[in-house]
Amino acid sequence: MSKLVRRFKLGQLWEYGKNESWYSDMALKGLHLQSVGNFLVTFEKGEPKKTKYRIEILEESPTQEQLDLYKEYGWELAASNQIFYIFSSPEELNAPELHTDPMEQSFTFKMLNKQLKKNMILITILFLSFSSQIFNQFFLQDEPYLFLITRRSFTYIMVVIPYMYVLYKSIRGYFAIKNIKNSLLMGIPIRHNENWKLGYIFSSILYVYLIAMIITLLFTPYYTSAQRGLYKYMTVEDMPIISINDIETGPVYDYWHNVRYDWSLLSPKQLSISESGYVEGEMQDELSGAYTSTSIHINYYELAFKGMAEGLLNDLINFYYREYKYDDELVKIEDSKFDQLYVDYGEEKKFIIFDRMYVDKGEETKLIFASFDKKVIQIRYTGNADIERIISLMEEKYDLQK
Amino acid sequence: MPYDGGPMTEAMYYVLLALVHPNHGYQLMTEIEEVSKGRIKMGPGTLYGVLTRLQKDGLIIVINDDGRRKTYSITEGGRTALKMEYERLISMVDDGKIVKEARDE
Repeated sequence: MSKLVRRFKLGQLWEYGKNESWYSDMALKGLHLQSVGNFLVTFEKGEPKKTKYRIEILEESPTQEQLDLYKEYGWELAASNQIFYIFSSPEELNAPELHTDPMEQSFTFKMLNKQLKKNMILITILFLSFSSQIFNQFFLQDEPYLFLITRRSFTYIMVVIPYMYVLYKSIRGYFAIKNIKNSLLMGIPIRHNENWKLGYIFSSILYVYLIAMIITLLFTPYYTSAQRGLYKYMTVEDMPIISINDIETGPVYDYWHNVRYDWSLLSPKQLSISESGYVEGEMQDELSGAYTSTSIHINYYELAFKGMAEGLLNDLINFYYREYKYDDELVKIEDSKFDQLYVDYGEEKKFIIFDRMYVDKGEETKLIFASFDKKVIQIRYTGNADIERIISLMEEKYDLQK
Repeated sequence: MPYDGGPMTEAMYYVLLALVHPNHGYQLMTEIEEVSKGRIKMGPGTLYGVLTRLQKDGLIIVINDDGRRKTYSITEGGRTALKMEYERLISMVDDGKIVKEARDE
């Protein structure tokens, strides 16, 4: 059995000159064209031979008589793919060209021309709708950084790159065929010798990229769930966060916690941790007895670039106040050990309705938004401890010095 | 574009001419060479290109297809087109006579 060698396909088959020259150069190395698939071209190993190749468009599959006639003229069918038929002829046979009338040959491009035009329009429409969606996601969002650090945003970018290439190729292809058609009409024959190397490099890069993309997209969920499993069994003390066990001075009863891990290229580590429990406190009412509930919710992000920290911090603040709060009491703490630090002391709020003043004691929820280096932290704490205590615990935990 | 009665390509003219008698591809090649007294050696790609196109334009039809080979024949429309082209060519040659006359003087 002879040995088969496979290569990525070079661009599209209507790139006559490049493909024909490539097949000829391969034959010179003893690799003879055997079949052309949608992505791969198969060559059969044999003796090096000088061979000419010609690509033909046949709208109807050829009859035996037709193939015999081509053979009589020195051209044998080597491979075919859809409407493209590739004929080969040994160089020394000096076979006459398949086409002796450029004007007639130009008519064979009519169908392809129409097809490529349809293709181009379709791809353009799809691209426009797709890219406008991406544009909305990236630029018209209230919190662009919060979107940027998701894995979804990266998928969009990964998909958009080959899409742009396909769009570019479809537009170029349409005009290339139109040009060939028109120059044939004016009697200028097709060029059969063209440098294929650059084109080959480009299409190889595209294929490698597509394969890498598919593998990445396939394996991402496995990686994520493996990482999630890892964090599930980790104690909160081992995580880069402070725990309510540290914050509360006494023991925490009915302690419960939940950890959610996520990652993306722009933010390789994202933790979302909730903890809650009860601490001994003052008697408040009959039902709750001498216990007060305490809870903390922390969003912790490690970013790939330090430059994103400020943007993400602002997005977290915006998002929080848009979703949960009706007025802004956030205080910026200058001169802290963090790069940036904002706190909301969660004090009682006063507001006036119909000339009467109301006091909302709220839930005593205290908020901290902080960033240092590549890390961004959002803390929502409900309990008796002071915000200053939490901040000093954080400074200790992250070993911050000024 | 369908044939609109304009000038034909040489290949198209000779294929129509050769199909006045129903024929199949292989025989057509030899016939065209004979009719043109060896002047026209048509490539097989061009021949089948013309056949496909003429069929689409309704100037010829397939009268027999046994899977191995197809036999083509000219249609009435094809005959009319061929006649018109013939007359156009005659008048072109007639009009061209001044070139010869000018040289004779």
